[in-house]
Amino acid sequence: MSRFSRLEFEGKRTVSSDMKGEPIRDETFFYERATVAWLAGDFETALTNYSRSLEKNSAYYDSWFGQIRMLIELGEYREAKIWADKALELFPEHAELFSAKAVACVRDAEFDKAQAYSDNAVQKQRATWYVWLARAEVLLNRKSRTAESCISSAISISRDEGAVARLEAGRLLLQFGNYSSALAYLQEAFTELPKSALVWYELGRCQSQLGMPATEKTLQHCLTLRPGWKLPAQELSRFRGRGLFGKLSGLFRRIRRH
Amino acid sequence: MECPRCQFHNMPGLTTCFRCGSVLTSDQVAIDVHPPRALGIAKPFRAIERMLRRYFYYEKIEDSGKTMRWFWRVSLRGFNAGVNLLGQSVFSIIVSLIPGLQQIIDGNFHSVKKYCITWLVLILVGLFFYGSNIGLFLIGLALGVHAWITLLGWNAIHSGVNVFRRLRMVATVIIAFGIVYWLVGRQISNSLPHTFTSQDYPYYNVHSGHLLVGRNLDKDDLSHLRRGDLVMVNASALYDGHRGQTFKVVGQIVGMPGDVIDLKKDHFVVNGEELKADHFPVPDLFHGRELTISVPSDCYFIACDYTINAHGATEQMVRDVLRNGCLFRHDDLIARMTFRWLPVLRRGFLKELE
Repeated sequence: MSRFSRLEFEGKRTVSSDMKGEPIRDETFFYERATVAWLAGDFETALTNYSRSLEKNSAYYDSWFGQIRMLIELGEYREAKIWADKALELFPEHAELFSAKAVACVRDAEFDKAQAYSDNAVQKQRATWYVWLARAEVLLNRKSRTAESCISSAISISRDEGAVARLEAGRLLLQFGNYSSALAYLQEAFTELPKSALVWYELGRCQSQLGMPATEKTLQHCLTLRPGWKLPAQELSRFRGRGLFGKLSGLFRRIRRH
Repeated sequence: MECPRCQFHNMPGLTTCFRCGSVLTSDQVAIDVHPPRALGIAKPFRAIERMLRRYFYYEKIEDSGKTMRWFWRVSLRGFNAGVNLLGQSVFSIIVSLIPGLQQIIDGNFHSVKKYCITWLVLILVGLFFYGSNIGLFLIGLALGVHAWITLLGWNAIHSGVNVFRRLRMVATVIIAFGIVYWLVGRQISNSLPHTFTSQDYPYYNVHSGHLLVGRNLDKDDLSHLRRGDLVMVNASALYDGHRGQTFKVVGQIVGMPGDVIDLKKDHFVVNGEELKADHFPVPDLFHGRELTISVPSDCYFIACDYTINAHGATEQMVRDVLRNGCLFRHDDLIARMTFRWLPVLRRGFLKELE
């Protein structure tokens, strides 16, 4: 079963003929709301909804994993590690949990621990795309050239979750300044998740770094999808206010891309 | 029972999935599903720690810190070593400087309430007896209690860490807090200058060994100083081995700028007027000597117990030292002493000279 297969936007839940009226507020309902919030870049709301999902069913693995990822997104790496340990008590030997812990460690600049957790994760059976992307992040921090092959592996095994995997791959490459590859992945993600504000934002950031004129349109569209979001507004004003050096560096990155 | 994670059909009665190990049934009440959250105030400190770890990691793998100035490199290394030694976050270390604050943040202040009250009592009583051995002992005890509260806050006492690590933490915390207490004491000392007297001043009822506290002087405005005031001066120029340092002694202003001072029959005579011996006691070194000293316009003549090692010196040399050593420039005046701190039973303000 795909983690994002039942994903819907703007609250337009499809109502089947045999299921009318108020949706059942079970763990899946809150999980979907959390995922929509995450793809809108609202990590705090997503975390709340993952917790509410677990209130309904504390054995729902995907929500545990979602909580850890949101804590990482919110920059609370120590809490993410604590929560990953707690999740590992309930779901022992899960490769994704070790990978999430590796990501928390690597972002908290504990590189040796991150490497160890990532090694542990890839040795497990049923390594998912997240495991390989986490591996890529660890390796990118170690400035290893094998990181790109990990990203390729992640994309190749992502199947149903390809759009989300591409989005994450794009975000990862963007973080490490590989703008051209990031743009390619984000554009692929964008075709499958056109209503995700997060995808538009990351795409806008990438275009901004490359000095592309489409940046303004992308970020403005992001703001229409999620009005009042500060990050794209800041990025937009930064793009508009960039000086000669900013324009030249964008141009240089674009030339390198070709 | 079907596993919610891998959809494997398990035998009834199993609590975890046979294939993937996921929990099949769970007690909804027992499991807390709300993750811990970081304090907003702690985030900048964490960012500093992260920056340090990142710097040392990259320095290790590619020696990227070559261009950094040695001072910053040494400072960063020292800071990092201190943080590593304590095994705590920078935020926790800073928070622990106030006893009980860590527990207040963690919401379990009640666990250290009695220790905090003990610390407060010790520190207050210690400050009351500040300057005496009892005060020093009580402040030392307060330091120990403070360290204990901190280690409790870090779960370093009852946790499973090995004994050597615990000892190292205890020693580091005590040394670190010792330095902090010393720095605080020094700050208090700078703002409330105090020192012990080595001479009797019968009029003020001040005797050798009393601890006097004063107020710092404004070097640009010394107009409020009067003859007879007790002042703290920097006498480092008088004593070899203390040049360049601040060597504080308490003395009495005998001569104002422009005065002419005669020393006759163990009495001071200022501008031809003899001063009372109990108001203006003559230091031992002046006894039996007769001198005439003119006070320059930028100096004060200050009498204090000059413990000069005059062994082997000629009389002329001693006279020269007295003639020049008792004259203090404006810059050497530190404070005007107004309060007697010790002995405790005589604690109070000094009376003004009529």
